[in-house]
Amino acid sequence: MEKEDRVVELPAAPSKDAVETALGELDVVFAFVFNRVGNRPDAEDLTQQVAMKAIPRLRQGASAISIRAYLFATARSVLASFWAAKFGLAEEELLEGMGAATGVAPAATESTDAAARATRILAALPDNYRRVLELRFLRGYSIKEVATELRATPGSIKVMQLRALRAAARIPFDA
Amino acid sequence: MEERVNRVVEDLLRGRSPRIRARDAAEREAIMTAAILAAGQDAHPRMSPELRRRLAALVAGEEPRRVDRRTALAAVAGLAVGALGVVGLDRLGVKPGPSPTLAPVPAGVVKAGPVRWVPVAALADLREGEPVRIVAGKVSAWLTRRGETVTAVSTLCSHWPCVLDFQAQASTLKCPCHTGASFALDGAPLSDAYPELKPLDKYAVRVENGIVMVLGT
Repeated sequence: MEKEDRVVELPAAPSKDAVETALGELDVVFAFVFNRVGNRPDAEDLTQQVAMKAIPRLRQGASAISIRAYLFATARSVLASFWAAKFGLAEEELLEGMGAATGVAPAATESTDAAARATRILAALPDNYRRVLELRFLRGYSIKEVATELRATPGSIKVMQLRALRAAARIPFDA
Repeated sequence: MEERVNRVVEDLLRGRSPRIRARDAAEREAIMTAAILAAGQDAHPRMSPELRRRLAALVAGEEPRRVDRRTALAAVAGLAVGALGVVGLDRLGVKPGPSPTLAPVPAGVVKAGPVRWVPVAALADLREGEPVRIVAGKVSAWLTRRGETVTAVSTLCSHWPCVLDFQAQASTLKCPCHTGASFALDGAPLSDAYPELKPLDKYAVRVENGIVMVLGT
């Protein structure tokens, strides 16, 4: 608990420790963002955006708990803007009709293990859907390789992949 | 639709920023779920050492090498560079037409003021394929000579307003703010990681009597 109550403050020339503490928090932000955008270039970009927004707050000094809360609120808002911009939607349109499945909406608790999350989501799918997504996302098969493995045409695998992703979207991000 | 979603999946599986269009919005849930599943390939993602160094510098209060993008955009808007394009030595002797029409400047953006040809270098001083950074009023550019042609591209990344570094070994312009974002010396984006990266802004160049001039302010 002592750690949680400590005040994190970055003066004009912050100590090495203060920088390390802030970086530790940003490490967690990076994993949080990466787990939702699924690629490194975007995750790095968004983490940097979160850092730039949060630095003035860090300089004012605040408890570690409130800094973490602020970082994650910022990360969620940066993620929502990112996806909204990608799809050309307003942020409120983006989340309309969507559940917590995408992980942009706040989750009470979150596992940090993305592989475990992927496995859990896939386990909740019907067999044929699960097989396609497992081969694609966990084993890195190409569409052609999946088609050969499942004795189907590449075209039908693409259709099944889309249907499987739609079904997976209805499974909560964190159980 | 399955083709478009598959293209996004392919990008994600290759570790790239996915190419998504507005027309893909109907499948946003499937696409965002694909991103979550793609993250499963890396059980414990950590930032790259390069990003860590950059963030450490930011947190420590070291000024990032950024300039106000609005200023840069104002300069570009004022120059109507798109209409003029880049003038190489092959067009030497061709007088530029009447003063370029100023593009409407959006509200809140600083007006760059009148434009003029600014002498920035002697042609003889420019080495083949070795860019030099020049400033012509509010225009800041990398100037590169290729044979008898000289081109000028913005020193600012087309994505974020970070000043690009010249990487002599690879002969590219590299963005210090994004791992893997780089451009050819003519401004063409090279990054596989950022398929949507736009080319760099170009500035008009002309050479007269061995003097290289850039249309600046």
